[in-house]
Amino acid sequence: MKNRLKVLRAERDWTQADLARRLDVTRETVNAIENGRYDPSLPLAFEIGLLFEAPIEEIFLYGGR
Amino acid sequence: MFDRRNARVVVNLAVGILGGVGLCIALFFAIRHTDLRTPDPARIIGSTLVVALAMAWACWFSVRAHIAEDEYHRQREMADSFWGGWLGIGASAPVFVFIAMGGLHWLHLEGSARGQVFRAFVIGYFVPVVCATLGVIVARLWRRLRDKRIARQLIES
Repeated sequence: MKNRLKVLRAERDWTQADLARRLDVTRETVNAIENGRYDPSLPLAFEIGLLFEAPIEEIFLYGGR
Repeated sequence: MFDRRNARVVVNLAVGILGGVGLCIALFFAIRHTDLRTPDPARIIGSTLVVALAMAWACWFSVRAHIAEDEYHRQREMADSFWGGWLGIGASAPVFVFIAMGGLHWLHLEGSARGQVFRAFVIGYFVPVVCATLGVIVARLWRRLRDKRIARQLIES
């Protein structure tokens, strides 16, 4: 699943470590999500949505759409 | 970065492994001068209880370490354990057949009938355990190589 996490993070000038700290996960997890190696659980996806003040479907693109 | 979460995981794993192994080593030193050929009830029950305690200790801290990890690492650990465990058990099948078909004779492990039975039992017990452990290690190494390959492809694209 593709996502816009890297773009949203860059807009806020956050490092992966900054985002990881805000989401209470490790930097490796953020890296894995950004690179499409890992799809987050629904709770984590909602946390990401809340953090970026955007609906999940605007951050995570199912089937690249 | 070695943050608090990583520290919790490492400390729990270290305490679990060191405690479990420590109990097993203490047991070894406690019984090494006893005659293993005599079925001493105190030694049998005591050793069993000590090893059960060691395993319970290791499991308890392993669970704590697992819970301390985030969801990505938990999922990776579970995938490694699952596939590694099955890989190891599968790999143990030809080893079992080798022993069952008399392969120990080639390894010059023959001796008294009692010794043979004892060794066969010990080897028979440890083969799946060691293979499962090695399987987890192989699965982990394979996954890390795959992650590196994907990262390299992403950089190149």
